[in-house]
Amino acid sequence: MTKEIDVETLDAIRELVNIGVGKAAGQLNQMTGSHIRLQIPLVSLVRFSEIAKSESQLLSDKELSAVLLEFRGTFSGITAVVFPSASAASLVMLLTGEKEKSPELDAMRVEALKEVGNIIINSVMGSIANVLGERLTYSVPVYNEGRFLTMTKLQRQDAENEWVLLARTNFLIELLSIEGDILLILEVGSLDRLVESIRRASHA
Amino acid sequence: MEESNQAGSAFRLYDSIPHGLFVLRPDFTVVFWNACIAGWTGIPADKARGMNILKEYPSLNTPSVISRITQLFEGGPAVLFSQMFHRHLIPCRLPNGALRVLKISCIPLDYAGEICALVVAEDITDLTSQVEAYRGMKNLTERQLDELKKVQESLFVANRKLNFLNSLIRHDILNQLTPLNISIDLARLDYHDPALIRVFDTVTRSSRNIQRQIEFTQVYQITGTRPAIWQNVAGTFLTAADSLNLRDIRLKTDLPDVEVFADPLLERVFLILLDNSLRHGEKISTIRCSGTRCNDGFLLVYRDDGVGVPADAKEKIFRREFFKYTGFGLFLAQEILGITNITIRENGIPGKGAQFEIIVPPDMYRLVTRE
Repeated sequence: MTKEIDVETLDAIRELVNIGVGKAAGQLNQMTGSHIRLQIPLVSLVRFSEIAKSESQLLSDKELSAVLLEFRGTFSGITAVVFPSASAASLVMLLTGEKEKSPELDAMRVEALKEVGNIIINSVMGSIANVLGERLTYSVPVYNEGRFLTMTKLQRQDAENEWVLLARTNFLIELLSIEGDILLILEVGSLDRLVESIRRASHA
Repeated sequence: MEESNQAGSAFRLYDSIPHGLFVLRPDFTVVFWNACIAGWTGIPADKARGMNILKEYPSLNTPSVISRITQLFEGGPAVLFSQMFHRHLIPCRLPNGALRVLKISCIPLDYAGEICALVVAEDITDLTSQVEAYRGMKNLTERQLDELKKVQESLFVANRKLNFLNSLIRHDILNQLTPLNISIDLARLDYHDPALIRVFDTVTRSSRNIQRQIEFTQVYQITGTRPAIWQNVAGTFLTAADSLNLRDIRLKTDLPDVEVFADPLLERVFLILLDNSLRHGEKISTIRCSGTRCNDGFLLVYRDDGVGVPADAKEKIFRREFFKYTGFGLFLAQEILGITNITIRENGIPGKGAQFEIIVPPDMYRLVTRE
């Protein structure tokens, strides 16, 4: 089920995510010296309970690697960057310039992936908070592996009624395209407050 | 001075933490410097307070680092710096002079009315060395595996060529035996001298032995030509039994769902055992196949209730030269199993039936658990 949300608001959300992702790409390029392009081809809004049926094939996969960050404020929830575990190791290797035949996500590469996720999440959340003029408080980012629903449902009693803002990302590096998802899981009531903030900011 | 004392007492707890910890103001000056980071850097806390971290450590003074920490000062989330992208962001030496590998997290901290950054530096030198050593071993193993695969492929090619050559030679020898046998048979028609007949008999016997041995090389040649595979024991045994006419003999199996890693000719091993029972058992009514775990791995027992194997023949039946009595079958069965270190022996009670015990080493069998 998709929430009734006007086109202008969805465009504004897409724009906010795009600004953040653009900034993240710049920081990743600066840090690694790579030529990374981050594309956001799709932004949609789905019920948490229906996320597995969403257009994101990735979220129904069994093995995912995710960096998650909780935030609280006018609107609260979790932001996550999610990759298929198999390509997460390839992404890190491309960024670090390592060459290995069969890469695996060992402890060192997990830290690197956490940093990549941290850069993307911080840029996206920074862009949203700055443009909307909202002050949010954040937890320390965590890394998790497994099924997406399991890792995000934990300790979320009302998860079924939450809304998820889903943005598909393509990491274009050299000749490779690695797909990842950026998700904003908004607690009950937070979507309305986010939409309200966007409308207020656009009128201002 | 008063402010630094306040900071010192506010963050005193951090002095007992075994990680490097310091607090930065938005202008990148140090407010607090814990005992651990003081020890690692050699900069005492009183000298560090008020110090601009970017001037002290130029590796931090890069746009990609500054812009991210600035985001934090502006109300953004924590910032992480991994060792893969920033190996020595804050160079700290170990007692042996080598640089520590640090993982750095900058966490927002409200202090004195402004957003500061609590910087946590974790020493992960040992972990990094272990991961690098593990990667080295993994890469070495992969390289060796590649080489082994190449050797295996070239051995297969060489084996195929040898087999081809063997089959040609075998064919030529058999072709030579045919005119030899015909000549002897023709000579028998013309010469009836008993001394000559004895010579003909000897030549005929030798010729048949040559033919039989050549035929055996044909069977033996195919063992080990294909790589060993995991095979379900009960399934393979029943397939072998299905292909024979067991008349009214009852077949009983008591096998767990077990697989063995064996030459693809495992089915032939069971065929040989079944054929052996049919040919030599004389009064067989039941054939049983059972299996259980044992100290040496997995014990597979094939048993019939025929006349059994005489005590003095228990070992001989597996010898190639014993073929006159049992055929090459049991020798071949032993050879097929031996490819993956599986052993076979006969230990039934003569007169009460044959019992073949097949012992599969621990790494050559697996019990199957089905979901």
